[in-house]
Amino acid sequence: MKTLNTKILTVVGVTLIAAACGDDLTDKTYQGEPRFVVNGVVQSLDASTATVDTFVGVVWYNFAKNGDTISTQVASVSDASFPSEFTLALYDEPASEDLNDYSDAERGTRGYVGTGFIVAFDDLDGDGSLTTSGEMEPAPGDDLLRGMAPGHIAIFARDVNETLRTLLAQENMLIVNPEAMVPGFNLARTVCAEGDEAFDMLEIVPNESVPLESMEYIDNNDSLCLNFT
Amino acid sequence: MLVRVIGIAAVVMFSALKTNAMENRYALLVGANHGDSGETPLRYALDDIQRMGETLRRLGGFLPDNMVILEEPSADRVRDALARLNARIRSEQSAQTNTLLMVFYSGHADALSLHLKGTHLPWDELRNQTAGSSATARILVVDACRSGQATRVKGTKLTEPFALPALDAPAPEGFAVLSSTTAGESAQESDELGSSFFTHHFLAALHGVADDNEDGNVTLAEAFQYASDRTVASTASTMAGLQHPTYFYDLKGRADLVLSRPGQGEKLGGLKLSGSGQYLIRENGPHGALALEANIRNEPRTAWLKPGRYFIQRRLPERFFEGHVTLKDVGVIDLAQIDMRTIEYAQLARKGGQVRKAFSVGMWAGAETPVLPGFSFPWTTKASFAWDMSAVTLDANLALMRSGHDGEALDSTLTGIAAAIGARKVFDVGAFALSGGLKIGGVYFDQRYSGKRLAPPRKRLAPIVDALVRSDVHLPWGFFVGLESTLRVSYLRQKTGLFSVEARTPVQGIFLAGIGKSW
Repeated sequence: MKTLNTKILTVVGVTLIAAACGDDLTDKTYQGEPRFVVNGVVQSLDASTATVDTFVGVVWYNFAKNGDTISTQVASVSDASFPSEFTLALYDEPASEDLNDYSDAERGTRGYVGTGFIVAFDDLDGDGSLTTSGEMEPAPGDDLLRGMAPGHIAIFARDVNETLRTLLAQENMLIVNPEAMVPGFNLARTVCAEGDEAFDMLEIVPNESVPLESMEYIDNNDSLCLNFT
Repeated sequence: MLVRVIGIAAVVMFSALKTNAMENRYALLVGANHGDSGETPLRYALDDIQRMGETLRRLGGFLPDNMVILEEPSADRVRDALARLNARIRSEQSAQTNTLLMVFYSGHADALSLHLKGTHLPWDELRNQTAGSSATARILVVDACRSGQATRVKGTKLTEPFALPALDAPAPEGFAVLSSTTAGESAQESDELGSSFFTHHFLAALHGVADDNEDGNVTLAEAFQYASDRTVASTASTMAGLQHPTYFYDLKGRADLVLSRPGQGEKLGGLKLSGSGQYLIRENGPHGALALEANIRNEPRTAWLKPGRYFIQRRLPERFFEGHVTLKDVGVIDLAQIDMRTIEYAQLARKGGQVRKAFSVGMWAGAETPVLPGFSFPWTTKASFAWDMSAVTLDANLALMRSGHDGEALDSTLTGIAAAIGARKVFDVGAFALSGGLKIGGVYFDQRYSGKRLAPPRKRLAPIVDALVRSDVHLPWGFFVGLESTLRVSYLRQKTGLFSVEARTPVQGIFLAGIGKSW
């Protein structure tokens, strides 16, 4: 009888568990589904100056407007040891004011393209985003920028159309392969310009691992190609 | 049809048989549990003739010396006993004395003969030997399979109304046969009654419940009519099917034959059954021997029973009543004056009583602890269905819950529809019903989000196991209110990170209050 009861309980249990199906539920910590995920490796970081959270984030940098506008999307990162892998999930589209406006009535183009630097920083003020004055030297109240991806940029494109792609291809304004650009988020690798007068450019690439280096490494390495703005 | 009319006419022409000092009553009671070798033994034939003998002695004016009781006799022994009784009647009969012979048989039979422990007594022989008695009136009552063969008539219902007997009317003369079945039917016994259906109801009739005109006398017609109606009703739901008692009368006279005088016999207590319904009267207590089962339609009836304590159940379609009464050897107790406890059928079913249906429905509302961290306490509402049986009460529930949370990035609502079945053990304590049980089932979750972020709705089926305790309070008319506490274990998968999922078994408490109705 004991064996029979055990069998019955087993059958009931297995049946109940087998009946479980469907989507995974979420609790209050759920942020939504990421629109884009940047996977990378922190190779090195500048030394920290305080015991605060270190984040990896994308800093959207609107270079086309008067006065840069910056916003940040972040993910926590451990700096206990390097190299340290990180995953940066981007849940929100960048705000409209963070995007460069490529609309031009004369040219017949309409579109917005944003460029985002992938950085690591200490959130000294604890606001969850990168706080910076935008000056070369850190100002009081700035968070500590400890590293950056020297070879990759996040790109967000809104209203991608053939006219915009043709414009970007013909004039080499920013992206060497605009035909690969898709609406929404893209990952681009920096392409060094040929000649001192030319701007570096960006090449849309499939999602790949993004190395992130310390600011000291970037400042001391002349071979980097970050002059595309 | 002609036979039926003749039979009815004979009944109307009955004349009264006054059981006074000038009347002698004789009875031959034959019981045989065992018939032919291939026949399944009966269980209650011997009990039936003992009860019949006691009833005739107490209520029918039959002296013990005038009754012959044969248990498991052979055919020859029955022949011999009846011949001897007839001879005695002849010898004791005088012109001033009316005599009544009643032959009662309970046992096996077929279309041709009675089966008596491997021997056969032909119907014709029994009929002729009874009819040929010198007694003024001869009654043959046969409770056996195919005993309709004894009546040779197909009438199954007496006409009414009967003519009231004149006290000074001449006694009926002649021959009557009552049988418990038609020619092709099986007579049935009941374990619940502890008797054959027909004999049980015939005895109840003799105890007074068939006294339609309340004159204190139960006539042959009244007794047969009551026993016939109740036998048909009682066998309506048996596996063997309906059993239709039949009769044959060839009696002359203007009044009916009085079989028993319940209020005038040996010292007995009267129990007035006021109000319609089915009455079960047991000796001493709920598990005592069934003393009487009676069905009262409209007019009150008085049952006469030997003094003692009785447990009474009165069944109505929607509920029943129960109580105790102590009968003394004089007087009549009116049940309408007795404080009887009202019991719903659900309680009766749980006590093991036989009811056609005992179920309840309810609506419940309350709250439960959240199944997912960070969610508000969900409100919940539930519709319940319960089927009460003697061992357990089976439950089926359909519940709806709704919860939610406000987040920095997203707001979420979680709707759950739970269906579960299970069983409870219910303990009736006065007006309360306390129960505990288990249920299994599933919850269909629908989780939706609001906000600017990408968050498609999620749907999931999660199995559940519930352990519950519940307390109900019975209200009039079958309504009840209740409180229920449930401990629920669910099995579900929860997204815990960007790429991580965990299987979880959250434990919830669910607290509900409800109202419902039982049938």
